[in-house]
Amino acid sequence: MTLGIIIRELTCSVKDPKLNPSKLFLVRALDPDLSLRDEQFVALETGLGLGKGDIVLVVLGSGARKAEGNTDLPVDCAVTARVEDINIDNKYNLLK
Amino acid sequence: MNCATVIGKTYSEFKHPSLKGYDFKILQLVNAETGEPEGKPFFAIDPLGVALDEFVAFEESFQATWAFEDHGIPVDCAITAIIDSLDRGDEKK
Repeated sequence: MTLGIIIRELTCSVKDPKLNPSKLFLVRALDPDLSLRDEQFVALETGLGLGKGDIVLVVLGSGARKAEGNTDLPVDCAVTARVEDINIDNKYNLLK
Repeated sequence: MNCATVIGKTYSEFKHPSLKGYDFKILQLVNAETGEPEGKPFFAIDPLGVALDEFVAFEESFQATWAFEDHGIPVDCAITAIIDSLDRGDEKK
């Protein structure tokens, strides 16, 4: 799983009907010390109520399909959690 | 499957309902031959409850969902074992 920050909310008037109640976000990858990485993803978000600026965990690959239960969703990248705190070497890094 | 050291942990309240009760650890891949860290740290779900600085084995990709009884869990990296000792020939870690 990769840490990321939501930088854009995507609006798609035409998309696969299976994706319909969910939102798509543009997520920029982060290192655990919160520095930006070069990669970015379009990730599905399934009713967690997240928005721009949230620091999230992104699941890549076919495990992302499980974000909507056991359906055959055409997705390989999903936002699954909002991270509120990171602790490395007993140094707390409160995000919210 | 590969081995890594747990270097940190995260706190997250808002998460997918199927992930409730588990937390995410920050892992650093380790070269089993030399003990040197390799690459950048990454995140893994922790169904075992491992401690900081523990040496663990983890599973990546879709197979990580099979670490859970209910396979409908959106993860791509899961800690699956705690490595107590590693036989490297003449010395043990």
